[in-house]
Amino acid sequence: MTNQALFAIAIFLVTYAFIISEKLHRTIVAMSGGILMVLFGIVSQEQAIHHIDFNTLGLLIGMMILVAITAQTGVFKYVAIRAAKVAKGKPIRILVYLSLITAVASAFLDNVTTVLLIVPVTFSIARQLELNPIPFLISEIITSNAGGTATLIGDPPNIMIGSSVPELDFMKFLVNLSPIIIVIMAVTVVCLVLIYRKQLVTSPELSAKIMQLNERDEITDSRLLKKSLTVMGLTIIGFMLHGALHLESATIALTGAFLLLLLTGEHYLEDAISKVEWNTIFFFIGLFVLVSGLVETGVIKKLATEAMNLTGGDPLNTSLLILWLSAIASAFVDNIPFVATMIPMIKEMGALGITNLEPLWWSLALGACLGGNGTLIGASANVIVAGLASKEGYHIGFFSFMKVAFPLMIISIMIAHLYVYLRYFIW
Amino acid sequence: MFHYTYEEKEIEIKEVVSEQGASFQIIVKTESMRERVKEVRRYFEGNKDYTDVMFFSREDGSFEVIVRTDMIESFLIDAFRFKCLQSICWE
Repeated sequence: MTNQALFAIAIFLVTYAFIISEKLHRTIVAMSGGILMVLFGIVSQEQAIHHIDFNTLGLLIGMMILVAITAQTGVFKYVAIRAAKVAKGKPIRILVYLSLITAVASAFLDNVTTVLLIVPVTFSIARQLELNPIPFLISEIITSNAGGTATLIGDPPNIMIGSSVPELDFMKFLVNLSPIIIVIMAVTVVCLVLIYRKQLVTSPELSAKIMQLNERDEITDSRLLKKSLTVMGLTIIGFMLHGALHLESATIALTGAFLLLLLTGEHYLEDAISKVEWNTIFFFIGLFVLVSGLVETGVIKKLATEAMNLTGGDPLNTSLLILWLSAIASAFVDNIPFVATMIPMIKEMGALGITNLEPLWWSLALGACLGGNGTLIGASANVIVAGLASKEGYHIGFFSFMKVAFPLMIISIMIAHLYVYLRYFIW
Repeated sequence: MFHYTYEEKEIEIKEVVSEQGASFQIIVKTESMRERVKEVRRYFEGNKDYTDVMFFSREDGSFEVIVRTDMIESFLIDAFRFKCLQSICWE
């Protein structure tokens, strides 16, 4: 191994350690790690820029703009209150409906946005029912991570995988991941109801209070709502067709975002742009450059070779190793840097002789996205909900979350294990 | 704590304080006051704090506003700023 490779590994490990320790903001750490790769001459500036996946960034920015504008219409609050009323104010039904809404929304919006939209309404519904909101919040965390796994645009790991592997378009993600996510969701929701059923009891008077809410008044701008929903619908159709249209997913998302801005006018521009999570965008940029150091110095190739030796190059064993490794790793470390490291490694495995890489990609997607449910720090949505709960005076502890979520994560990975085995290696 | 007054011909406010915060039941009696209450609502829904002040409309046209403990004074000041209250003062 060359000195350059050793330097690259050292910078990568130190950066990773700082990201895990959360002593400094992860964006500052990732960008610093990426810059060090360039400063030490491990990659040139041109190589660094070449490794930044602008498709991932464009997709994220486009969707963030679309959601920022749509959120202003009040439609998400409308849906949540409507669900609570359809549930007749009964807490267990509300938990089920809010979990399903969170999962579906997370499949098409990013998980953090989804929980930011659903959690405030959840607090209010729980408060009106005089219930502890924590069972609802934990259910929303878990179903948001599970729902996000179902589509190319649902979770950053999927966006990164879809962006790096052009043949895996939106429809392929939907066809390969959504069936198993529906099964996992059904099992998860049943488990959540069984776990929390004793805490979810309220009086008929309090349930009746929910029925008095007027969800129609939550729609603040019906013209904007029509425009937003039309463009959102067109964008989702665009994602479904992007493979056939030979357009990248970022092109679809940015077209949707700027079409909506064209329709709404410049009044919304500044606010929408300010709501883009630039921290996340720069975090991605830093990571892409950081991992490029490992790619350019041959470290990734070496790791891929070692993994292949471990599994004997057998596609089934390699897929299952990736599934479980991604799940356990993603439960404890951020799944975005993990996936950023795994993508070039899986590509290298293709070069080393595994002809059909698809089961490996689906294993990575399932492991990395579902693994985020394992602990409170496993995914951004978990940390955000815990932060919001704490602000409200409800503490979601690391171990109290893990006690519920880790076994559910293991169950979901066992189901995914069976699915990968049966669908890609037996049928 | 704040003491506040309002024009009873235009608005009626009932406040319930608990450990987590305060809940305000607001009955508006004029359309201009409804618009002012909606201004307050837009102001809080437009900020980046998602759980500070939560507005809910009821079928009978009244509002329920759930305010986090640390935001009660800010909420009242902004309700005053948008002319939903006539006066506020320290008690």
